[in-house]
Amino acid sequence: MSEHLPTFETLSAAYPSHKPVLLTLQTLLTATSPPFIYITDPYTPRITSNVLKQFLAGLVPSPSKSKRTVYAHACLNAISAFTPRLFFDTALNALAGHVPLWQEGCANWRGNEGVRYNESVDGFIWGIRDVCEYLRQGQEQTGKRESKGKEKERDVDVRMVLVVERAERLLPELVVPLTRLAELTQTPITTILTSSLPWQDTKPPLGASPDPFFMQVGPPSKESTLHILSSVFSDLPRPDSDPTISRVSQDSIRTLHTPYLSTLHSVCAPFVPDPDELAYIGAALWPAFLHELGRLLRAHEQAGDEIEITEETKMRLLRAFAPKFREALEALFPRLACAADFLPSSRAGEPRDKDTAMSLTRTEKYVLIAAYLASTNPPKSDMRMVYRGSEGDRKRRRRRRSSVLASPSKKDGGAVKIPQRLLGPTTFPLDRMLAIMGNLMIEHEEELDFGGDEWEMEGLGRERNAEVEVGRVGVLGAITNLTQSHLLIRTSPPERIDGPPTFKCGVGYEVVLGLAREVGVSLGERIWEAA
Amino acid sequence: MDVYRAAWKDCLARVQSIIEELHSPRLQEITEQVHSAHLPSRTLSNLPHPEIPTFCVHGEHYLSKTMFIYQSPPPSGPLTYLDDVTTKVLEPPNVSGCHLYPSDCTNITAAMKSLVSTFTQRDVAEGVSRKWPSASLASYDIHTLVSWYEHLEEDECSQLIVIFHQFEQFESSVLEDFFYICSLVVSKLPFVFIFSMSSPPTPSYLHATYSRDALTLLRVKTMVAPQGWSLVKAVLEQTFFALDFEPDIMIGPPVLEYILDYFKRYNSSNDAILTILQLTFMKHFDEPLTILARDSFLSTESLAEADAKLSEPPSFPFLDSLLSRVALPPLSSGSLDVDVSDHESDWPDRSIATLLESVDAARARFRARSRGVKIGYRLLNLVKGVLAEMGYRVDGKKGKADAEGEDIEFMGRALRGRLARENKNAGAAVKELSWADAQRLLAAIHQFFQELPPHLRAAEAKARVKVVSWNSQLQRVEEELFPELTEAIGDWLTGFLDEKLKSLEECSLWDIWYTGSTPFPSELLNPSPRASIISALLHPHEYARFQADPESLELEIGETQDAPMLWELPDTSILFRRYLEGGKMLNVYDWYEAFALELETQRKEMRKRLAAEAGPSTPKKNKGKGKARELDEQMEMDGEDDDEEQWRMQIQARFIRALHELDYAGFIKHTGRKADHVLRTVFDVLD
Repeated sequence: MSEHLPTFETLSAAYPSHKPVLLTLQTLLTATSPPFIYITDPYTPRITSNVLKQFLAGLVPSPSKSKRTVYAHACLNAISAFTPRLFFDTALNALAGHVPLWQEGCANWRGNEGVRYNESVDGFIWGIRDVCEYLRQGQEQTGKRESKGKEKERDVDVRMVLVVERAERLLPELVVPLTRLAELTQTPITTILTSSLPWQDTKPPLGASPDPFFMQVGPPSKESTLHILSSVFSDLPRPDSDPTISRVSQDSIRTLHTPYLSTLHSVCAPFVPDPDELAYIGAALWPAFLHELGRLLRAHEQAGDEIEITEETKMRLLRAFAPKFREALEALFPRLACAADFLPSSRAGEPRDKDTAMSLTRTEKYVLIAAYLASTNPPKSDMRMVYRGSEGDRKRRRRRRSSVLASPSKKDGGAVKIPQRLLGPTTFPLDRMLAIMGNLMIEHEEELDFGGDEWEMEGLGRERNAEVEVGRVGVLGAITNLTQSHLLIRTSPPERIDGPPTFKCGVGYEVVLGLAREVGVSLGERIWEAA
Repeated sequence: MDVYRAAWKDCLARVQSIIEELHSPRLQEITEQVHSAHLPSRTLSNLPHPEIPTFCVHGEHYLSKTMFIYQSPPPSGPLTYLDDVTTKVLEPPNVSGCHLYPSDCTNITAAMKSLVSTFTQRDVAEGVSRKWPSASLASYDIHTLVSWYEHLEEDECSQLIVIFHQFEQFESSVLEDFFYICSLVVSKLPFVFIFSMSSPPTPSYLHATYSRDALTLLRVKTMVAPQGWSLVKAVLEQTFFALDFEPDIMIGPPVLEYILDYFKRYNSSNDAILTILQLTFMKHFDEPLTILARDSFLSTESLAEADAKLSEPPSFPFLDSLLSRVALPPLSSGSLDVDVSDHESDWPDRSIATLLESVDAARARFRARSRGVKIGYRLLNLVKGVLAEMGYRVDGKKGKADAEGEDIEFMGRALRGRLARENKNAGAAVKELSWADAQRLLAAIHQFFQELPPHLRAAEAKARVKVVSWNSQLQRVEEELFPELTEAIGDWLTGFLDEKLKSLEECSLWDIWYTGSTPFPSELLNPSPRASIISALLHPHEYARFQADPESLELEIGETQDAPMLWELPDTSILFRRYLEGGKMLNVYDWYEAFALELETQRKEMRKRLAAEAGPSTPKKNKGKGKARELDEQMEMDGEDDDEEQWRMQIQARFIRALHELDYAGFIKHTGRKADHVLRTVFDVLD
């Protein structure tokens, strides 16, 4: 064990919210360990796995006992072990402390010559036994060499720990053998499954596996989050590029950490409790923060080599920088931008344009508008809302709409009908949307060039034209494109070919409103329940 | 055909080189970014977990192709993506590449296997073989890759580049696992991912499809290949209005308009433009005369052979049409006709060789004319640009709401020779210029002439000399003489442009080299299958006739088109008519009865007609699609037999056949709901 590994004390100090779990684990693993432990952590799985790895690596045998204890552990990830063979290989190699080398043809750890451990669960169980034996012997040999036969009769105790992260993704056929591993192999092995799901949701049916020893990691408190953040920030580099900043002493910059992080926490933590995410945002913004500091310091230029950061500067800086946090949160949390975009250098080059204008072709815009109408209006209203056959119809439609608007206010006793817009889109068949789209195009594509097919179109009306137009391959292709970019959602399975496919609109009112403005469709009059 | 191929090849090469040129700075940028992805300056320290640098390259699929073309001569050591093992053996780079295709990644095992094996393959070939394949790590284990990477020497391989082709086609759940596994070892393996995407950058496919969890593992940087209207304009201008490139064919204004329309409505990719151009070329070369587009050799080696070829009898129709075209005066009697008309008196006596020579001459004239148009277009654009910079407006309109439409309109009018108003405006604006502005304008014009390609510069020597002289006059002109000078310049400019910008259609035989105002065959590119199937079923004769002889249609279209009687239609159409009259569900037996009734009428009418014409040679009713004809013959035989039983069988067979045809086209849906009933799928057909 190398000395730079954190001890139990430092670990539990660094991660206060994990302290109870670590304490229990420490007790359990050093005393008699249960064969199967299940740790649920719905909040910070990544940190938990890091902590566990460090903890296990730092697990030192207590020398005072009469027995020598050897700890071996393996940390696996259930996602990366997507076949049983991968799982067995990784587990055994890690337990035996074997690193496959390319020069040796990536050979696995081998106990007895010619025995394969990665073929089946059976082999794996034999493998565990052999590893256990190997560890004991190896320890005895080194023990002999060290103690020169002084205490030959001292027993060696082997403790193996197998940690599987993201246990919810574990291959189903492996769950039961793993939970009964100690029983099956007759070795002192402890299986720890960690997952963000509770055991009830992941356990195999029919009670095939024994109940585990449960542990739960609580949500990170404010102190522990801040603690984690500040430990991440402990060794921040300072940019050499800024001459003003380089005149500020390292210590005074360090004094900025705490206010910076607490502001970050107070702004972002209500929305994003995950310390990792906060650390990400904090790290992304730190260079920009220093940049801002340099700007402020330059504004109040002081003489001398060393620049002190006064309280006033600090306050001013934080106040000036506070909006940046929210902005960064909005862009970084959904990963619309990456951290590197927030470097002051990249920012200076080009102002990030925040426009959400979608680069859609005209046809795609029409499709989206029609899809939105089809998704929000009740099907029976189509004729009244969208169809504009002649002037007479138009007048009638107007009247209708006003009566519709008036009606909800009258009945105040009955159940209030929630507008469809708030309930989410309904599904509609393709034909209906195409019909709506055709009507929209009849009205709004005045100078539409239906060129190229005169001989077919001879003497046919605008309606016929529109019908031909909406059946074009280009339109259908546009629908497929939109489905691919999830602006339209296909609700019928793609392999079903009889009957028209059904869709749902995937964009909201504001987006459609913007699109409608671009193509000149007045959306308000066509929505059944106008806002 | 060969001529088409050659002409299109030229044009395609030109367009592609333009596009590549436009792309190359961006490509350079991408490569630099990719190669510096793991440098500490590009990454942020203190992130809670390492991220995989990822580049989303938006743009057409050819981008990745050009990327390799671009990089195949390695600009410097590490800038190579490696494709095949041979190159790897030849020059060991410190960048390794791996291509993943959607077909490789149907599940996670296959994906990991192709990833690991691509990288490690090289060393396996070198002889580090595994002794016990089953006793070592699996070939799809990421640890294999780790151990492979660790055995490499320092600096031997600084980046592992994984390129995802057709990123949209990948299964997202597989790739999420893939990213997760790779991110577990990213501190040991320097991965760089490149996604080649064809969807537009907004709305982002990546953000819509992949969960936030997966995205947190990546450091996504979006790169957009240049596209959009500016690219299209550049392509069109530099292909058809470039001074140093002469396409064999000019495209006409309708095609330009169609490109604009299609671009705005459907598809804004470069491929679409290429397709449109290619279709235009193809349609243009449908015309037999266009074999003369490039040269007069008629796909032979020399003029003499062409002469011989034309003398053979099979080519007489061609010769005939050529002769009549040459003899025919061009549409408007321009000044250029004069030299043609003096030949006209004796054209029947002319030999084939002289005919071909005259075609050559016409070609040269056309080329010259189109050069003139190009120069005029360029010059006018230049003057407009310079004047706009100084605050004058040449085009009358204010407010550029539709810049794209304007560009196209401008090009179209330049080709039609209708830019007189612009020319006048430009001239008028020049007359009002101040001294300094005039000098700037003249300098710009002078430079324009200087930069012309050599053969054009010689042709425009006169204009050049004039500009130079004005330039020198401007230096020493007095205050009161200045208006006169600008007047002269303005007049000259208007005249010059007017002379240059003449309609290409005024040349003789223009339709060989110019698509003119033929409409673009948009049905080919963007068909409306449903509408055309239904209308074909309703009006089969028009389609059949058009198929047989496209030209006769135009003649007949003016004739009275009385709708043919129902019995005259082919079986499928009869059935379809009856289908339209039915309810939501059709009783197949009723349908059959109705059909049989109609066939009965058909038989009676046929008999009548046969009796009237008295001969088996004239029962051609033109039933279209060929199949009706053989039925007729069968029917004749049957008629002689007058076997009622056989006739019934025939009706049944024809019914079943027509029914299946409709079924095949998707008009019928079978349900088990009612016995002997089928469901209609098409309603409310506008007739």
